[in-house]
Amino acid sequence: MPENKKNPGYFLKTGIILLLIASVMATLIAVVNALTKDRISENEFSVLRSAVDRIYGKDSELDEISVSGSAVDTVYEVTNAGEIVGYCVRVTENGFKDEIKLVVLTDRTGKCLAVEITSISDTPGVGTKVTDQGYLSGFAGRTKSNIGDYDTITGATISSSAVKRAVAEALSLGIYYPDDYFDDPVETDPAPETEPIDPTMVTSGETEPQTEPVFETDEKGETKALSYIRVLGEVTVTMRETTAPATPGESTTADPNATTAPETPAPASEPVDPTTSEPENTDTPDGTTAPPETNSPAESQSESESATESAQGSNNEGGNGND
Amino acid sequence: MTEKPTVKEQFRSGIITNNPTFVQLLGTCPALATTTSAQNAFGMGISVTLILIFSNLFISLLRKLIPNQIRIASYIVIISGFVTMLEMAIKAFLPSLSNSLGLFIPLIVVNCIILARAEAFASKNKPIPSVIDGLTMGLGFTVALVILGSVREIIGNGTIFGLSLFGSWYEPAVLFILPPGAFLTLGFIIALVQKLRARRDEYKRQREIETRRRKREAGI
Repeated sequence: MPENKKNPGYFLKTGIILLLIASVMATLIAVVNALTKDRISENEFSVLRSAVDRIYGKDSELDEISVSGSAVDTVYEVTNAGEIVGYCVRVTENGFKDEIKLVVLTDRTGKCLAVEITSISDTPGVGTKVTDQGYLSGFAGRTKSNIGDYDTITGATISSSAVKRAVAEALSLGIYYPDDYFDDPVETDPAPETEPIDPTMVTSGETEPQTEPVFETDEKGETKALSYIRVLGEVTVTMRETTAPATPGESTTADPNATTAPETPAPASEPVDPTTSEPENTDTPDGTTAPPETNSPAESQSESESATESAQGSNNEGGNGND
Repeated sequence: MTEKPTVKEQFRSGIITNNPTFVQLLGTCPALATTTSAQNAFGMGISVTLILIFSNLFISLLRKLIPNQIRIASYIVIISGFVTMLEMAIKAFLPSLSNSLGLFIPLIVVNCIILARAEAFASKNKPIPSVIDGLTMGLGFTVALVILGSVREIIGNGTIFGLSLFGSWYEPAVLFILPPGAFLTLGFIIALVQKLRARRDEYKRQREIETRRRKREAGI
């Protein structure tokens, strides 16, 4: 091997030898890389996948989405049966020694469901206390606003602060909806189904007051109104013609109980004319007739008075209406 | 050295008398950083042993081809190639170890032990002894690291290889898990090793004197 540096071929030779050595090593590296790279990405993914299976179910699918301007590594949209159920966010933060990589699983409103740490190189037993499930499970149910309140582990301040920062970053993405966006409307008993009121029919047993008049048609074909104010009976009004009394005085004596009968300018009281011997024969609805005239004129007069009175009474009664 | 050491001598030398960490004081950086637990220490030690074996093998095979002026550059290319392959293999098949050791696996490239053995032994010896040398030195490194890691883990965490040794009454001296504890532990162990070596040297010297005296008395 000529070691004389002035020999021009010397540098070429050393260069070529170094090139050969480097090429051989590079080839070996490429071979090992091809053999192991699938397994490496699988390992990194397996922690994430097992967490996703645990929270969202085994048949959930992950689709990577891009979120603009975010400090996180990757965001996966998790869909189960075609519906988006949440997001799976990979975040990296600087821990005590090296980076801490973790995975944050959230629902659509930005609430944390689970946190898993995929890679940590901090001091074993000290910084690695953040991987304790008791600590990580405390993140579940928190939102961006109350991450800061969560405890840091004594003696592992930097590691746990890094984890908290990472989770807060994952929950601060712009993809989340407000808290109550997806809540089901408050369930109340459905309004009782009432059929529209049919004016021609009355539901049997209906006793509730109704706001609309209900009409009933009886078998005669007459339509009557049954309002929610109960009507106590039927009303039939009959109008009668009456004649005015001769003297007011006589009318008063002959008419002590004429109160309810409508007063017309011609008083309804029967004129009492002592001079007339014939008792007035008046029509009454009751069909009461004046007593037969078998008495003296005085008696007949009184009888006629009584007949008049009775006629008035019956007239009054007629005015009042019967039960 | 012109004598070719025997296999047994090589083992004894690598693990005890010429231990890379406690005697040669090489590779102290990973020795301090990765010995926070006995398990991590063991993982690191075995990784370095594998690298030593393969790099010594390759360098010994190529020792006649590599020109003198580029030998260090060539050694580095070869060593870093193997370390890269090892790193990929550990990430693929031992992800938990990869997470524990983290950055220190790629840093094996600049571990002085490997370059020292390449320069001192592999470039001057045949492949098989070179492989054995790599093995013994690697084992010595592993033993040193496991001792260091065990002490630190027992005092600093109350466990050994993850198994709890004391009850809950033990309040671990967390200092020993942290970097200052690494220096303290290594310092004390080196002091102990030096004392033992001094005593052994003294013992040898005494024996030498004794032998000479006997020879003189025998009338030589």
